[in-house]
Amino acid sequence: MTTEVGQSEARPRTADSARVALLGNPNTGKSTLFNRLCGARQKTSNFPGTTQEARVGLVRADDHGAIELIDLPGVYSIELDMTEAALCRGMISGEIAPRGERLAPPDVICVMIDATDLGRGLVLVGEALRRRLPTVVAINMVDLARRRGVHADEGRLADILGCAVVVCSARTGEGVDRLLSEMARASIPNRTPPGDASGLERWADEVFAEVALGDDRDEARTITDRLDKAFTHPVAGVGAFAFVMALMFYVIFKLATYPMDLVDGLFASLADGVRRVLPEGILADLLAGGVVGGVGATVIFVPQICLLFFMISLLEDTGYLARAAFVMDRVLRPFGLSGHSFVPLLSSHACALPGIMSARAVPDRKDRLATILVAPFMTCSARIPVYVLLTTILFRGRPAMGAIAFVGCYALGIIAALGSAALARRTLLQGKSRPMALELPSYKVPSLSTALLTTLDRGLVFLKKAGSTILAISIVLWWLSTYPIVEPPPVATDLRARAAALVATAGDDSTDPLYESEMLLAEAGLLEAIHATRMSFAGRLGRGIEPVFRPLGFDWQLSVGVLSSFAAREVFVSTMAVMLTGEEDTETEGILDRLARATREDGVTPVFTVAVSWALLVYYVLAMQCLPTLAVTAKESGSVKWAVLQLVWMCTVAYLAAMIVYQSLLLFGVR
Amino acid sequence: MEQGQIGVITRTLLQEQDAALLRAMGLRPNTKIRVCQTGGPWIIEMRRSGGACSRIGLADAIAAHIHVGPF
Repeated sequence: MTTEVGQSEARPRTADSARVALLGNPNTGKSTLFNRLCGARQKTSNFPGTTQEARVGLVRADDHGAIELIDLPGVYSIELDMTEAALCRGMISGEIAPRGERLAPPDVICVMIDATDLGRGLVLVGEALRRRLPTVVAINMVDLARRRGVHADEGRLADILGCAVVVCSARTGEGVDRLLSEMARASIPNRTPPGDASGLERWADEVFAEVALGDDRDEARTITDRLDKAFTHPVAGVGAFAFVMALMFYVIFKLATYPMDLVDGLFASLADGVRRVLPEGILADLLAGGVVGGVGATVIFVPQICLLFFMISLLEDTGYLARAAFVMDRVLRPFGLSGHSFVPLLSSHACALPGIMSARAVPDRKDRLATILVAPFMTCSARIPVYVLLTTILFRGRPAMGAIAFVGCYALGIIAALGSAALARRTLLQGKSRPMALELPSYKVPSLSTALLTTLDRGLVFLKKAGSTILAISIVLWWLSTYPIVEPPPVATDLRARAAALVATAGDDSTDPLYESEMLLAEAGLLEAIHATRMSFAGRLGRGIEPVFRPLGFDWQLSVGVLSSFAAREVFVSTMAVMLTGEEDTETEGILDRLARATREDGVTPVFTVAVSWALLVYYVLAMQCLPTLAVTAKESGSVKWAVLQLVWMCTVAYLAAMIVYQSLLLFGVR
Repeated sequence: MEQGQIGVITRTLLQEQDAALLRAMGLRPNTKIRVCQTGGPWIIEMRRSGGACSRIGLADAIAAHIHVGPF
């Protein structure tokens, strides 16, 4: 065994705290240990100039002082030519640090290896030992290894490595206290493995041969074999995948309704409260309409986002997702994408922001860029209010047809995404998608606490990243659609005067004039709202761009709706409700009826004709109308040019497709 | 190889990046393997002494470049 031997050195560190970098292969339970130790005392930080994240947490143990844990990205080797490996190398050498952390090597490296396959993790242990930093080796998942009859002599391993070795189970908590103690008093190991790759592999094999206990057994793991066969089968695998996804989305949409309604109600009450407390004026309008409205519009989607991450975390923990990636690899490969792209595309069905962020897991750069570019074609939850409005208008009293149209919208988004990916991979991002090689982790019961902490972490990241952008955009849009404040139209003033006169002349017991007065006031309010919208900056812009949308059948009011929803699609529904009915509430049947019957300025032609409604539906399925998505695309792709390309491509496809639909319907006599 | 067969990796003829990743994942010459599934994807169980093992899934395009000899 080629091993240099030296003296074990104690290394000075700050009086009562140690900074520990948690290094390990993927699927070794690093995150489970991190969550067990830090709980909610953790934050996610980016490495400057990259999209890679590290979680940083604090452990306060009475007899160990404070330990700051840094959960590094999972790597098979820190010497690989991959972003994650480069970050681990830089972090360990003290050249880079997560944002907000000091630039210095960690006080201790804790290398986590899988007890069920010790041999594989030893190469990473060797790479860490060569860094000459205080090191602790944690052999995790010992409970699973025991069940499989896999044992190792950890005492002998500690002697060979020259550092502390702790057997533990992050899931059950076994050995975790001892691991903390060893982290707090770790010293520089007195062994240094060979530096070259093949020498290190030989060293790892020799070390493993010395510490492995038990007999070699060649029996097949039949249950795992059967499950793998079913989950990756060309037919049964697709069926299982469809079932799992249908169940997941059913749970997400079903359960999210309750917290979403609650959030909606809370923000509505908050806006009412602001208007009651503050005097009428700019400040009340800004706070109630811009700030509370804007924040509410973001927070309302948080339950769906959190549920999605919760479900994905549970699924990932079971070991199923790695198998599903291979099923989807077959489907995605003809379009130039790989199975790695499927989780980002799946997540984009809730919201494109976390979907694009999760594309970091796609190892090949061109695959990753193609995934980011097409992810916003997937039907996100913000499109749903628009789909509901338009399918209801198109298929009143025919819910089955409405449902088919709804599913068709989802299908159109997926087709557009795959078609665009295929085009991108044959032009801008030429080259074949890299074939997949993926570890298939053991099947296990998922950890609820890990899923909950992951959900909390991702939810907060979403709120922080998306909330700030959406809030800023909402304030700008509120300003554009509120200002300038204009005088009410003469017709409305006349109506108000007539209403006042009716009230003045009504007797004490007469109800008819009062009722008529209320009707006149309501009509005056509606006319004032339409006039204000028409004369606002957004309204003027709408009239300005109306010629652009005319080939799609959109009048100026629809143009304002499209324009106002550029930042967030769901704004379209409330904009149209305000402009066409004077009320923002679109939940009631009456409002939908009134929207369906609303006419253009000539008072005869419906705003939502059949042809226009179809064109609008197609436009909203395909158009890029989400500024935060563009911001995240620019950040994750590393260049604004990809965000601009995404915007131009999606809007062009949407415009042309909507125009073709509208003009074709006119051609066939459908108006 | 047939499903269920056990063999030993003799060499790999892959692109440098793929080969390095597979080596780091533990799939390197002299590794004992069991073929759990052939094709679409290939599922390989890497076996070490004492019953230690782990599984990887390989696309056909990668599996075709891995040479395996009898154990």
